Amino acid sequence: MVDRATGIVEALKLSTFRGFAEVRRTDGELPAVAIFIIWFRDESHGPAALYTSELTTAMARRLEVTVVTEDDSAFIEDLTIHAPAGDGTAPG
Amino acid sequence: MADFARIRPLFSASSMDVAATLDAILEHLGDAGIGGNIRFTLLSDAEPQAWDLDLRAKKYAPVDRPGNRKAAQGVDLELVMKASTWNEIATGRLAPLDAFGAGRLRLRGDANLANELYERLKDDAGGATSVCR
Repeated sequence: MVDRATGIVEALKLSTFRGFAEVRRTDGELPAVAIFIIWFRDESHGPAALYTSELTTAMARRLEVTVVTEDDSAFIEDLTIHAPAGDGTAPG
Repeated sequence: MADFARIRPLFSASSMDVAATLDAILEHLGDAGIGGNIRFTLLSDAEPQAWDLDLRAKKYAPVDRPGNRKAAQGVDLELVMKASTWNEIATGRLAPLDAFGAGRLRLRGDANLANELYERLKDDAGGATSVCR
């Protein structure tokens, strides 16, 4: 079983020892804040450097992200960055 | 990095008694002045079970429908893990932060409340209760 959370990245806590992402959920689930693990000690469940880079961009641009984890784990297994909501016009 | 602290054993029985562990938490905290509602969601092969622990009112109750969003109103912190993981933590065999770092515990909500609770419940052997300081 997996858990899927969509929200806005509020903080990244990074050190050699651990990388955490704090996400405020916008999908209506409560409690609204969730903490995810990018890496912990020498373990990650995906491309940690890429996750960090994409989450940094998402935080800076206030883009929504969808994070997938196992239902009893905080390790990020899958990450989607959503495009900003457009105004409906095609790019010129 | 120091080893992570285990919590003092909340029960010693081999069979899982969630209510007994929540009783023990309230007993250990005494009048520590910590407030907040903590939900323990325990997963198993059957339906998940959840218990809400109200630290200020010093009471707890099982949650009827854990998946119901309305039922999560007022929950400050949710800890999600397999029932077997809670058994290991509550008997002092597994440090909560080791469980978190091993991908066996998920945390939603107020991390400061989680840290405060952990600090109050840690056993006498010492060890770290945070990775964010």
